[in-house]
Amino acid sequence: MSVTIISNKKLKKNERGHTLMVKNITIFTTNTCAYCGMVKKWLAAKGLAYEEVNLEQNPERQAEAMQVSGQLAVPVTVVTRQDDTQSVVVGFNLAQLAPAVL
Amino acid sequence: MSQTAEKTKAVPVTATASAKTVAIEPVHDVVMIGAGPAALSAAIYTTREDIETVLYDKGPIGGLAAVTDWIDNYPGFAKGISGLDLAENLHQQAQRFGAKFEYGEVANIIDAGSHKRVITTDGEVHAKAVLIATGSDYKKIGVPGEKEYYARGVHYCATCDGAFYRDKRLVVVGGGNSAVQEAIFLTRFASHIDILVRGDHFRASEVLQEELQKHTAKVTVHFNTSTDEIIGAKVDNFEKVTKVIGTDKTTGKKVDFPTDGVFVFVGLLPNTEFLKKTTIELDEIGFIKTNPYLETSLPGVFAAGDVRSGATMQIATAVGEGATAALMIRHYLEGHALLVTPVTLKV
Repeated sequence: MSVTIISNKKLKKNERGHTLMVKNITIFTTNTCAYCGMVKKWLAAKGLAYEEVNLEQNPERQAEAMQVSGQLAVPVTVVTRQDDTQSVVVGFNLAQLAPAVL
Repeated sequence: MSQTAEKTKAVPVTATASAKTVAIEPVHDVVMIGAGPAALSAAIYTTREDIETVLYDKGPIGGLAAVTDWIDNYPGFAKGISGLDLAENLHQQAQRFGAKFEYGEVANIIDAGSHKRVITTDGEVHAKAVLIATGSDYKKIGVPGEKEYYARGVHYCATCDGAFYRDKRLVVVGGGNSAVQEAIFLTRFASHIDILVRGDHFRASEVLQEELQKHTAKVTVHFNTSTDEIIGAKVDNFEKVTKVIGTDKTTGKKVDFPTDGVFVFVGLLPNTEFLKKTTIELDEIGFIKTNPYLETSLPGVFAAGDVRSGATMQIATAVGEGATAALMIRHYLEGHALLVTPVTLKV
């Protein structure tokens, strides 16, 4: 029998104590934002894939970034888990980002 | 430091209990707090000398330089260089020689005699010497509405958030280099920018002022104008800034500046809040006092760059101070007394 071991780092416990995998990560960025680069590098170093939405190239998605974060700022990182619960982190804020993806 | 390979690794502190030796914590040669130009320059020098170096930072590598749109006065780049590119080059150069980077926030530095205990939000690291190069951050104006509309129309980073204001009106507050430089950057997005300057002239360099002149179609400068309040309202279900109220100090009259956002560049404050629990001496504003060898009032702890009392707040000088601090740290680690008894500079 083959056993697949999934790193606990990629799992998150929900209220019932079940572990939840990160389904996808979206980062809203702009061309010149240094903090956006830091978030991308940090996620890459953790081996986590993400979709980048550059708001200068996709201005039609600015409203979406504002709605999800409640702010007019980037980077906005949206972590969606398997049960579709989301964590939204604004800025390069490891205190919030690390628990959101662990 | 010694050229031997083993000294390039952190050496454990050991405690002997009976016949048993227990490793407690590794002691790094140097822990640097911050990863802006001063720390990166220092790290290039220490690591090239085989001094094992770890940098702790909570922000972007490159510090404020990394979020500066364009840098025209850093020597060696005839055509100028983007802040992000300069930060990336400094980062790669330090990495090439073996500097290690850790994300983390430092909360305290404690003198433990033979070494320093650096308390981070994730735990504790030990070092024979410490360099504080935490730089400074943009100051707040301290007016009603500034905190309430933070990141909802009030910003301190044009390269981060400027793109939200394509074809919108903006107010830039400040009259120094940063204010003028970032206002010029914001002209690529905004339809119009009002710059509110408290004094009767710019403190920015002539070159930047001349550059600003090229954008007069989009920019109006208001000298002698204080920024008193930032007003917002709910627009499309979203709280947004709608205007700035200022005072024309020549007439004493209130003036409204309708706007979609405000970018604030009114000077810098040192990032030294975490040192308040330590014995490290600060000046009245909060910058770290050092002797001529960049050593703080706590022996073995050095400071360089914008965070140091007397710093000239330039990337070039931060880089120079970083290199100087590295050489002083090498001297300290070799066990030599610094050339004279440390003297605290009067500020």
